[in-house]
Amino acid sequence: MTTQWVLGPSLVMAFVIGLYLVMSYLMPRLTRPDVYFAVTVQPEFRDSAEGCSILKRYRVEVTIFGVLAFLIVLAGIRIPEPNYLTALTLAGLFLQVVGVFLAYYRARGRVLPHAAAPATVREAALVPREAHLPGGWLLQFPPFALLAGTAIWLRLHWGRIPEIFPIHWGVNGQPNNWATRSFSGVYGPLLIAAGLCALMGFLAYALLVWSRPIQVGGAAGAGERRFRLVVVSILVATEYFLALVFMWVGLTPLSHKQAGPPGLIPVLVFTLAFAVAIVVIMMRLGQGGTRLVGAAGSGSKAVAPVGDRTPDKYWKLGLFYINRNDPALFVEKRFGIGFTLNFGHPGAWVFLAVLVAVFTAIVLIAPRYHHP
Amino acid sequence: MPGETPVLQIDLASDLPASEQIVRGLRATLLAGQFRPGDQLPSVRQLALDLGVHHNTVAGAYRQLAEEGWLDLRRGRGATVIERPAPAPTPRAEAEFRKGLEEVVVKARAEGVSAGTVWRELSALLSKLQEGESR
Repeated sequence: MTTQWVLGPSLVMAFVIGLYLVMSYLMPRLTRPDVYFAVTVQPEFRDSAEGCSILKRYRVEVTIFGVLAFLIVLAGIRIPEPNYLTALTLAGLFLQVVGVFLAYYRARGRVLPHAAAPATVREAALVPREAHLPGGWLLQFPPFALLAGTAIWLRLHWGRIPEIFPIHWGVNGQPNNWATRSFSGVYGPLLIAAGLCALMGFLAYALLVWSRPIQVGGAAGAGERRFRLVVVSILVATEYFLALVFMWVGLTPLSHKQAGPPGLIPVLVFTLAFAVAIVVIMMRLGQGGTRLVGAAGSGSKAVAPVGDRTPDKYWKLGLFYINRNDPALFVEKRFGIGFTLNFGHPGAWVFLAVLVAVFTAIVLIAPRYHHP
Repeated sequence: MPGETPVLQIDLASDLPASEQIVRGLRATLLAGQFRPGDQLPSVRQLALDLGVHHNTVAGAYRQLAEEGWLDLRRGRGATVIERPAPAPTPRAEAEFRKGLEEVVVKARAEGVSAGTVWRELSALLSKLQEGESR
């Protein structure tokens, strides 16, 4: 086994752990000023002595778990057995996820006694909402065109595709699973990508139509509109990202390289750069675009905290929103940046059923593993 | 639509039903001339989602405003603002107005609001409404 192939997956996983550590460390300061560890509070609470103490303890805990996970992954480099290496890197990531959740849960418990009743006033713009995707429907076309073009290219070069070709490689760079030259074997990845792109497009449109603006007027409203536009744009950009990556996956049968998938490093760098770009953009915006407007425009001068206009009692663990009386299908996450489903809305279950259907279809379409 | 985007606010904790708050809020914006005939209002589902109320609540409010002659609710076209000639006041409407105004003014005076402030506020409100009607 070459050093390159042992180092590669471990370094990628270490990078992921580092990124997750940065995100979880900064997250409490990226949410709305009057939502702290998923609890509605007075905006000034987070800067109080108690608020700072809670944050400090949370950050110490997530750092400890992050460093532990990092060490476990790096320790894997010294283990020559690929299966143990995979298990160890996954164990490191799992430990970090559990650790961050526990730190969040403990911090939330300390914030709960300081919960404030959110404002009961709701506001709405009296104009029909324009649910236009960035670039319109025209920008939805190229990802599917790229995938279709790849399928045509593969059809034209059908004879160059080996009868059996590798589709999965172990951490040592050697192929460990193969597919046959068949419809699902060759076109499966492209069909999966088309399904995922359609899902991203639908999600972008659904966010525009079925999520509630929290503040309409002033700087806060403008910041929120910009935030929404960026989130939807990221979903559209993800369609392009998926199309390009799966185009590469779709073309791998034409390569005769044996040690690892061809062009892995540039694709990996592209993927990590895409992930970092999204994280940086979201951090600059803050939840609901609140970092664009600062405290002055965030509604902090209101008598009661505006929060996200959802009552605390409908949030389970501060992560799952279940409110049958709320017609919104998507609401802002309380501990995170972006949106989550209202599980009290029947549409949420339809949406989850669609997700399950897409992933079931992926499993059915995915190339059958074949051991020659 | 002249000027800034009109915003409707309701208080979910108020004793006044949400539907009545929507009717009052919309009527005020219509009277203030914030819409022109032909302007579209948000769909029932959109307004219900934004305000966090059931769509029947918004549908009821729209129906009442349509009955008063403010809106056209033709199927498939949403709620459209229409030209509404001011109706001739009935004696009952005038009596209700006098009674309501008296109650408001008496309450304000009892709570220490000066006669000058009452007069200024009433004048300002009237000017605002007349300005809206003349648009």
